[in-house]
This record gives sequence, structure tokens and C-alpha cells, in this order.
Amino acid sequence: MSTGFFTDTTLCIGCKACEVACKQWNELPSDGFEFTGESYDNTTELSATTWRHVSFSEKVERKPELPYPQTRWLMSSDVCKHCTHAGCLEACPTGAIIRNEFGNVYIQPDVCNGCGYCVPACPFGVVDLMQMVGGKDGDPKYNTNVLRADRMEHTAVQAIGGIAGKCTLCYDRQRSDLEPACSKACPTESIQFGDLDELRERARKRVEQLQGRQVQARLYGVDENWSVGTLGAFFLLTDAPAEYDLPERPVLPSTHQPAAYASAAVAATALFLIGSLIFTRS
Amino acid sequence: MQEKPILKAPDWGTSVIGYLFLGGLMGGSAILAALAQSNHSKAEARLQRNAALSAFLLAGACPAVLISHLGRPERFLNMLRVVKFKSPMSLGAWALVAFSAVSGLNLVTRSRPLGMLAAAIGAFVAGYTGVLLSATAVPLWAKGKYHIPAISLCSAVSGACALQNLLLLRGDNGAARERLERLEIAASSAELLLLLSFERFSTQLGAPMWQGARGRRFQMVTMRLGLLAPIAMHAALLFSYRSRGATPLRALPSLLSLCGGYVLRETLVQAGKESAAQRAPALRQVR
Ligand code: SF4
Ligand code: SF4
Ligand code: SF4
Repeated sequence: MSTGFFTDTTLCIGCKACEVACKQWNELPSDGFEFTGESYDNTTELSATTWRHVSFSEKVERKPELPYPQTRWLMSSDVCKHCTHAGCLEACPTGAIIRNEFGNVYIQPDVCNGCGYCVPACPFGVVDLMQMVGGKDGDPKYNTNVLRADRMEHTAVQAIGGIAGKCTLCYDRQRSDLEPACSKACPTESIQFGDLDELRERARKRVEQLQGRQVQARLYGVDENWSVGTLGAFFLLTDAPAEYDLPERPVLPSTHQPAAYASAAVAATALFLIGSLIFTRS
Repeated sequence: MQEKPILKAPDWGTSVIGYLFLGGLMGGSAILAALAQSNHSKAEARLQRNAALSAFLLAGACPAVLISHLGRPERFLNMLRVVKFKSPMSLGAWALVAFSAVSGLNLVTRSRPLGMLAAAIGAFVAGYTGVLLSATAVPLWAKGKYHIPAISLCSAVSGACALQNLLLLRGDNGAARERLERLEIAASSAELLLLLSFERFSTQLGAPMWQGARGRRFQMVTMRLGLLAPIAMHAALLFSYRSRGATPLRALPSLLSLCGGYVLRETLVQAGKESAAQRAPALRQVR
């Protein structure tokens, strides 16, 4: 059995209760505050210290039959997708990223060495490094005073290396039979937590229901044949994935390896043969 | 208004770029040491010794540069908890460790099989860095999966030729240097052709690499000064006259080639980071 999330974006009201609940439960530090002017989105992206992000997409549409423009407003709570074939997990050289007993992709913070290779290996741009800082006693501290240099003033604390951070799918809460903090806090049940098979069944019914009401609904991360596999956190969308900042077709980065190793092998062989010719000629 | 990025670029800077460069020189030097083993002239024996020693010393420098990236030295050891065949970074860390041991032994025993083994691991180190870049979601690197690893290897060999050439500049080493120059011409020509092919193949994804200020710098320092110029200079020297005395001028092509090799790595890393910030290629990812 695998657990995961079904995020029904038609129910999201953009209240950001999930963002706050996640920050509080995981004791994640502030990223600073800045008005972006991008609708109601002042969080802008998932990061090592922001594991839930409510994205807002405002589109002003003019229809010939209406005298005034219409605004279509999409909100969606984004999170790590807990991919069936996870680029971050494959890339991690330390084995810090594992699939836990709930089928979720989990980073063990005490094993991660901050190499940062998981960051470009995520096709969704989810995981990122946060810089740890030395406390008074010189010990590294996890989760304290984490800095986003572009937003925070107190960058004077000495950075002593990075650590990767992303949604744990509330591993600690699940182990205590608690529901993840974000879905628990969601007032509209836009974020639904549970067994993935059940969630998928429920999601398919919901799509049918919406289509019956002439809403263009589709699921993202369920029935496509992607190299990343099905998503452990999947979505119900009513517009193109790009409108929700989701790639139309995520690609598992390790699928590039055969071609890349072949390229290296051919070059190495050719160079060695040419070299042997040059060095054996008298 | 800036585009909202979809992907995240790694925070890699000078230390990782430096590692890619030094790792290439290390692998290339090991290959040269193995090639020079097949000959018995004094100059070639010197080349073999120099190349094997440089490879061993660089094998010490590489982890040091990597560790400086990690912030705390002991964290490098976490790489040695597991072997993951799917992770080029994991295989690379193990290859570095294996290389240190083999090249150290090779230095002492000078046995032929050990030299070949060091060359094989060295070639892996020089090439896996290209695989490591390509096996990501970064559009430019993923698009370069057919080119970047081969380019890394060519650049590793041409850079190592340049380095060894510099080390043999003084003294009566004409025979060995001539071979180095021939090999450098071959490797650099292949690299130049691969780069031109990559430029066409990457279409608009390649813009951060070939256009703008970074692109101009890359074309000047790597393509013209680092590849074309040394090829021409070496070819001119090979065919014009054969007196192989040491003049300061003879160091020039090697120095240019080494600078070009560093700027190649720098451009690959920085242009890749820029390509990750673009929205369109991130939404329709490279297959
Ligand atoms: S979305 Fe990214 S970070 Fe999350 S499991 Fe997939 S690859 Fe890993
Ligand atoms: S930063 Fe940490 S979690 Fe990410 S790949 Fe490196 S060791 Fe693994
Ligand atoms: S599951 Fe937990 S860690 Fe993940 S986004 Fe929700 S609250 Fe945050």
C-alpha cells in the first residue's frame, strides 16, 4: 500500500492554510516576505524551506458576446510529487533519499551531504538545498536561520554547507497514524490524503462528475505513460498543466544515461586507438 | 517581468567547475601514461613518469576540491555508504577512490596492467562528468547527452597533452612532444567538430552557451584560442621545422589549450544553469 495526495484544484480557495500548517509542523523557517505582484502568490515556488506552495494563475479572457472581460482564476496547492520513478532518489549518491514504508520519497537529513545532485535531477523543480549555519556552539543546525540570501538581511551567519529539503509527506505524522499537516488543515478538502488506489478511484469519479457539468477536468499524473511513472501526489486540473507551472511531459533524467554513456565510450575508444597509433609509430 | 522558473538549477560554482576540469586532466594524464608505456625512448619514459605522477597528484586534488563544495570534509565519506549504478555521482566518487589507489600503486610498481587499469578508470572519470550533467532535467545538459560526454573526453585528452607538453618543455624531449602534439591535434579537432555539431543540434536550447556575452567569450576563449589556434600552431610546428628546442613561444599553444578547457567547463555549467531558468524548455522537457 502506498499513501499519497489527490489535489482537486477545483476546490482550492487559495487560503494557504496548507502552506502555514506545513511550515509550523515541520518548523521550517521563514523565507522573508516580499510582494511579488503576481496575483496572491508571494511564496513564488517550492524550495528547501517551502514544501507546500499555493500557485495562483489569473487569466483575463475577453469573449465577443460579453461586454466586459472575464477573469479565470486558478489556484492549486503544489507539493513534491513523490514520483513512482523519482529522479532525485536515483541521482542521490549517498542513499540519503529513500522510499519509505508508506511508498513515499523521503530524504534522511543526517545522511544527506549537500552534494546538490538531486536538485537538477527533479523534473518538477521541487527539491532544493538549504544552507545550514553554525550555532553558538559551532554545531551545525538543521532548519534554523535558513537563509534566502535575496530576501533576508542576516546573511552574516557563517554557512557551513547545504542539506536537501522537500516534503516528507509527513513521515513522522504518518508513523503516528496522523494525517499530514497540510491536508488536515485544508478547509475544502482540496488536498485529500489516503491510499493511492482509493484516491485514484475517487479522482476518476470526480472527473466524470465535473465533465457532466461541462467542466474541462483532467487528471495529472495518473494514466499517462510517463518515465517518472504515476505520481504519488497527483492533481485534478481544468486547464493546461503549464497554467499550474507543471511540465506537460515530465521526463525521468536517468533515461538520458544510455546515450550519454555510449557517447563517452565511443569517444574514449576512438581516442585510445588514435593515441596508440600515434605512440607506436616509430 | 521575469519568467517564473519551473526547474531548479544546482548551486554549483567554481569548485565544481574546477573539479570537472581537474578530473579531466587527471583522466587524460592516466591515458597518456598508459600510451607512453608502449615505448622505450628516454623522452617517452619521462613522459610516462610525469603523466603517471600528475594523475596521482590530481587524484588527491579532486576530492579536495569536491570537499570544499560540500562545506564539511567528513561529509564526502557519505558518498561511500552505497554503490548506486543509476547515480553517475555515486559511480564517480567510487571511481575517484579506486583511481587514487590504482594510480598510486602504478607509480610504485610501473606494471603495464596497472597502467592500463588506471587509464580505464581515468577515462571513466573524464567521461562520467559529462554523463552526470546529461542525466539531469536541465534542458541544455539533457539535450547534450550525445555530445557532452564525448566533448569532455576529447577535452580531457587535449588538456592532458597540453599539460604534459609543458612539463617536457625543457630538455631533449622532442620525440615525446611531437607525439603529444599529434594527439592533441586529433583530440582538439574532434572536440571542435563535436562542439559545432552540438551547436546545431541544440538549436534554441543552446542560446545560453553560444549567444550573448558568455557565448562570445566561449567562442573566443575555447573555440578559437583554445582549440583552433593550438591546432594551427602545432600543425605549423610539425610541418615547418623539426628543431625541437625550448622557446617560450612553444608554451603558448599549451597554455591556450588549458585555458580553453577550463572555460569550456565553466560555460557548460553556467549556460546549463541559465537554461534551467527558462520556462518553455522546462515545460516540454528533452526526451
Ligand atoms: S517530484 Fe522531484 S523531489 Fe519529488 S519525488 Fe519526484 S523527483 Fe523527487
Ligand atoms: S544533496 Fe543530499 S539528498 Fe540531494 S543528492 Fe546530494 S546527498 Fe542526496
Ligand atoms: S505532507 Fe507534511 S511535509 Fe509534505 S507538504 Fe504536507 S505538511 Fe508539508
